[in-house]
Amino acid sequence: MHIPDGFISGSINTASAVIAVSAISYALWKLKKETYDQPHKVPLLATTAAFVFAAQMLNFPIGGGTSGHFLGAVTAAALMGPWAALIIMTLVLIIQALFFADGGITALGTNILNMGIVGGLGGCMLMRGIRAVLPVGKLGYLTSVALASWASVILASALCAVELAASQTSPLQIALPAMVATHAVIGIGEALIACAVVTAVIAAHSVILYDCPVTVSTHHSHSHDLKRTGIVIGAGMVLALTLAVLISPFASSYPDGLEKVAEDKGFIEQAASEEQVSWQHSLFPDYAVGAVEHEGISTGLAGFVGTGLVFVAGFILIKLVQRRSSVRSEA
Amino acid sequence: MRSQRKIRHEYSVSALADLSLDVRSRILITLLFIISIVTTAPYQLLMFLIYAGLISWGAALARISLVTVFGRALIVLPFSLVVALGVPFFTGGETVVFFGLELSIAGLWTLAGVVMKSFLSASTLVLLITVTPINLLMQGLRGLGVPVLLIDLLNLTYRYLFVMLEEAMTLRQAAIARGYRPKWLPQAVIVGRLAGTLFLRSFYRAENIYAAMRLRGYKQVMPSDALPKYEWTSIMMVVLFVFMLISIRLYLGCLK
Repeated sequence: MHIPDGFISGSINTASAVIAVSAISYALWKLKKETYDQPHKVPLLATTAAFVFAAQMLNFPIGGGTSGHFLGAVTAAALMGPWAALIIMTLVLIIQALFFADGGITALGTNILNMGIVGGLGGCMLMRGIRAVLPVGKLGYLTSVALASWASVILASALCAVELAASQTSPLQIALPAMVATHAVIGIGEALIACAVVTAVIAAHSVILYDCPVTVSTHHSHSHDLKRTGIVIGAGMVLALTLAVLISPFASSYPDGLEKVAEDKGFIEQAASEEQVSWQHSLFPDYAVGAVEHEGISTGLAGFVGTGLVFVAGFILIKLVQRRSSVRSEA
Repeated sequence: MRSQRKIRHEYSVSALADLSLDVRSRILITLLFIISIVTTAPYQLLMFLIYAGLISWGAALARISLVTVFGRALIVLPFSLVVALGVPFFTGGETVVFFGLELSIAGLWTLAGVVMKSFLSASTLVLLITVTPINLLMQGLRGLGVPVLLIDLLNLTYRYLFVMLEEAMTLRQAAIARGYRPKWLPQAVIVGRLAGTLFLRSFYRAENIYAAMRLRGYKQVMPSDALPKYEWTSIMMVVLFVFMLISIRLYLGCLK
């Protein structure tokens, strides 16, 4: 996923460099305050970055004779917090670009955007969002780490594919499905490694985790928790909607697994003729809002509404589960 | 002891013996050169030859073999090929038949451009890194306005990088010795356990490093040598270099 020089157009590189520099400046400002009180964090940040670098060298098999490697953005966020994770990924990427020719100098901003900001900050946001709706404790914590690790790898690779396509280096219909499919598998390895690392750390000293599940469960303030949950759900919703609107118009032209099989086997016409009535009257036939003429905008809109509906449904479901579990704990 | 260190320092600084160019100028020239490579259109082959020539000239001035510079840059090619190899098959427009394969001409140019640009940019960077010691490079970056905290962290990370890499390789070696032959994805958990051990070791090492730093009087910022004044002759070198690149590109009509 480390993009070399010459792949990304100048305007995209400039824009992502501006985003990266501002995010890094803010992160450095936050860390400067933090390390002023706790100067022992300076070498800890550095050794964690060295750890992420070294762990990226440990390949794991993904089947078919190929292997993937660890990214470490969400793991770093779980260990050290979101802003520290951004700085750790930045350190790793700068050293890889400068000394190992892994990732280009002009593409450094883009690589930091993909792996540090989307992978690290976005992954941390997802992790907190997922944890907010899961039961407090070690299992919920590990689940959130696993899901966020998996998603962070996919999001970073999807953004990478979009950037390559926008720079006219490789067409989106090929780059996006290929990148996302490969990284959906690599992401499983990432999730397994992230969980194993976090488990090892909990077993040794849970105190060194940035926000460890043990302290969360002992100091449980409900109102604070509710407010935080609200913020996290809002942020997650914004992220999901952005992705749905921005990515679905590109992705939808490529048939999904079932549609592809249906087309190949010729049962799509059969299904269409049998269920024509219900198909046309479903809310979003083939995920596009019928009344809107432009295909891309229409698909984007369908993505927006669809994501919103899924979110509301999920929210209601979780509320129901929460109520039941709180009743049980009171009894 | 002190004199020994000084000699080694001077030796490494004068690796670019004939120029001994200020490190800030080296960084700026490298960056501008790479930007020039990246912004050249793929079909301007003469311009890419000139870039290769300039890199070779720089290597000759620094008395480094071309095999080192271009050989180390080969590392970028696998990624370039994996990402861009499919492009000639899927880009539209005019096609050319090659060994029975129908390839798009525009797609072939994209592939060639991407390979040349990533390779030449990596060669330029290898040249800078080979002739510039890391501490000097970090001083230069600091002189160009990179925040001190980031520089300190970069220095520390680079210092412990090889320690952690060696630990990682030792752990993997031990796992292989115990019969670890990974075949399928769920075995990534084993890599995860190795990584967990690795992180705990890095954590304990950080505690020792901090104790050592404090004993030597660490106060918020790592001590570092002050950079010499940025001489105007060094700044002029950057200006001259940019002027040269622009005039070559104007002369060849390679400036969009």
